[in-house]
Amino acid sequence: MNDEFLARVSFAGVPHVISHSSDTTQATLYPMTPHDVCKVYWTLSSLTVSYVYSINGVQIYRNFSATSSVVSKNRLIAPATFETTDFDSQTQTSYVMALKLDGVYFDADDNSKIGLELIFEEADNFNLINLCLRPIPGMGNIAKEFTFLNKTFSAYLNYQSPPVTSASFSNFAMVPEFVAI
Amino acid sequence: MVWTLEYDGTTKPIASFGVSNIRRVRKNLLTDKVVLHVQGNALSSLPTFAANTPMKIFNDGNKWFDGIVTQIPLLCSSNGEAYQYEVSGAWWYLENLIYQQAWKEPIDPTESSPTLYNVYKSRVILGLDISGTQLSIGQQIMDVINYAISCGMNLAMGDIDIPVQIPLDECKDLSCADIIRRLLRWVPDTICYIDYDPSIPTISFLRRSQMPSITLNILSHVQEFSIQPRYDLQVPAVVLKFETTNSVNGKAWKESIQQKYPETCTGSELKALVLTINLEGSKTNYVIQNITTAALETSSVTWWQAHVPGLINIPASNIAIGNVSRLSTLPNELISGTVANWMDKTAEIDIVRCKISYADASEAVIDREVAVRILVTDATTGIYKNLLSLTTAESIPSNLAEQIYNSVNPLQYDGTVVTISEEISQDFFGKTLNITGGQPAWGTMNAVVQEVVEYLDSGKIFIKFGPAKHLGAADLAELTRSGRLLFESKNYSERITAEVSSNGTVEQGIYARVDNTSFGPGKYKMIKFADPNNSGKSIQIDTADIAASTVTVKLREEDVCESGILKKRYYLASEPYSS
Repeated sequence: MNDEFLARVSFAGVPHVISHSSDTTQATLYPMTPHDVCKVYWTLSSLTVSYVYSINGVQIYRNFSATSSVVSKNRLIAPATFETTDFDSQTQTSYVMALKLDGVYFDADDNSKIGLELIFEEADNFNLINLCLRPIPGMGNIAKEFTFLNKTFSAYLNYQSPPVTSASFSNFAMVPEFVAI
Repeated sequence: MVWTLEYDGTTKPIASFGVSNIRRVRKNLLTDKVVLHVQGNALSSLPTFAANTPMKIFNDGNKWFDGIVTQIPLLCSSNGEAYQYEVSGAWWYLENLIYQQAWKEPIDPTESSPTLYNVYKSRVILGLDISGTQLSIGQQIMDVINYAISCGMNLAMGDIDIPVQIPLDECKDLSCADIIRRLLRWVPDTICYIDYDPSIPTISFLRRSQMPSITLNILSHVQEFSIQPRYDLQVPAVVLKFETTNSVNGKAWKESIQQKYPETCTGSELKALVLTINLEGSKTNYVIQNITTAALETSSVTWWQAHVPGLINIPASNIAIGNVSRLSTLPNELISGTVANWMDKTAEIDIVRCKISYADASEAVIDREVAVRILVTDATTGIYKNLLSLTTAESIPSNLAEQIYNSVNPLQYDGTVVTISEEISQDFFGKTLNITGGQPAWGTMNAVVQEVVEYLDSGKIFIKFGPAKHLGAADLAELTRSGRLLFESKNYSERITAEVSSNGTVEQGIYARVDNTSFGPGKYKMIKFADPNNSGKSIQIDTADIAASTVTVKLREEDVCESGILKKRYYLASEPYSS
């Protein structure tokens, strides 16, 4: 549990020191409301991601989480990051997830729409695959919807086609946990 | 002489009625009577003349008496039985008629100026008519006689010339006769004489100087005679002390005015007649209004401080006045008192406006619009007085002392004379009597005949002369009674105006000072909030703290995060400015 706090924030609900950009094409969690962004920035304690995908006959299960040790009041000075990276020796694949709260994106025409960038990758050494939150042109993109803060977003399994065949993607979930104040 | 009697429409010789022992009794200011007897079987027979019926007696066709039968006593003696009839003359009516006067009363008392009508009351004010004019004794007696005539009395007005003014005399429930006697106390040498010869008896009032005199020789036909000079009734001086109580607005003071005759007398002479007479004084009611005004000095800081309480504690040097305007053009401000219509001054509400800039320890304001609502007038400081009501004092009767002196100072003789002759041929009543054949002074004494009794059967005449005892002039003590019983008339204005209270209506002032201050919107230069319990704590907002020339500090909205929830709040801040 964190202490109660009160902080002056920008229109996006984050400290004024957090950079803002009006280029929402960089935001992978978009659109969110400023209230949602404010909640995520100040009270998100951990983020758990799980999904299943198969490629070339191999089925891979992922379930990992990222936690920040920066308590809410300290986020006035420096933003928390929720980042995890690991290497799966069995499949010779690495996977990365990074939710960095040091940048927000807003719609130049509508300040009530705010976006955050969530970096999310999975790749092996031989056959390029990616798990992103946006489709990659020129690659096969298998989309799955997931919910985050009661909003629906899409996650994409990107693969090279045609060398990679029989790719499938399912059960994507991203579950946040917030501290109680 | 042929004596006839008229009764019940029939005139016959008096003897044919069986009448005997006829005598006529006349006394000054009393009822004249004829007393006669009718001999016969009175015990078993009804009276020849019924009560309350008129009867007239003629002497050679000249009416000698005219009256009504008022009493019928039955007389029985060893000499026989008889009815005695008393026939009363015209004065009897005056004795039995209560005198009433017209008084004004309002038809609708709720009206502001009600219409008045006459109401007859037995409460009367002697010496005053309905229009408020004072009456002399003669005029007042004429009013009494006229009232009696208006009530159906068989009487006509004769000579009444007594131009003597008297103090107003209020009394009630008195007969006309009592009223006349009351009036003639002031002139006791007056005789009331009723002449029965005209078809309607005529009443006259004659003073001693106005009466014809008649001379009687005691050596001829006089059967009895007595006389005495009344030195004891002579008064060397008459001093009337009139006392009035005047009042102004309820404050009363006594005023004494002395009237005396002869002019050289002092009132301290032995046997001097000194009378204190109360007169109704004047009553005056004013409304007085004290007004204080001051010139309007609307450009003065001091003036504004006096009218705007909030400016009192600000040093005058820290106050600037500008843009003064007014609604009115009247020059003075009403400070105290009220302005009423009767002052013939104008007063009206004025609103004086200006823009005030001031600074004190807690605030500094620029061009604050201030309006003061005041009463302005063209009246100036002073005392204004308005007459509400005035009841004039009862006027002092002129020459009353002289009139009384002339009535009682001359030496009077009183006495009696009895004459005897074959016929009643001379009328002594209403005359003054001189007697010859005795002392020379008797020949010019002009003694007033007060009573005459004439016996028809015997030709005897009894004459009583001298001062009028029943008028109270018989001695000094009686004379002073005319003043002792007289009180001032409190109600004489009520008779004329129907107003019981003469205080009038106080007209209240309409305009009194007003002071209403209105603060319009001002521009605060500085505001300071202080904790009254802790002088160390304060909040001060002062434009002087803003160094930049074009910066506005105001409430602004900002976003905040409260425990993870995005909210908004206001804060006081300026726009960014270049340092």
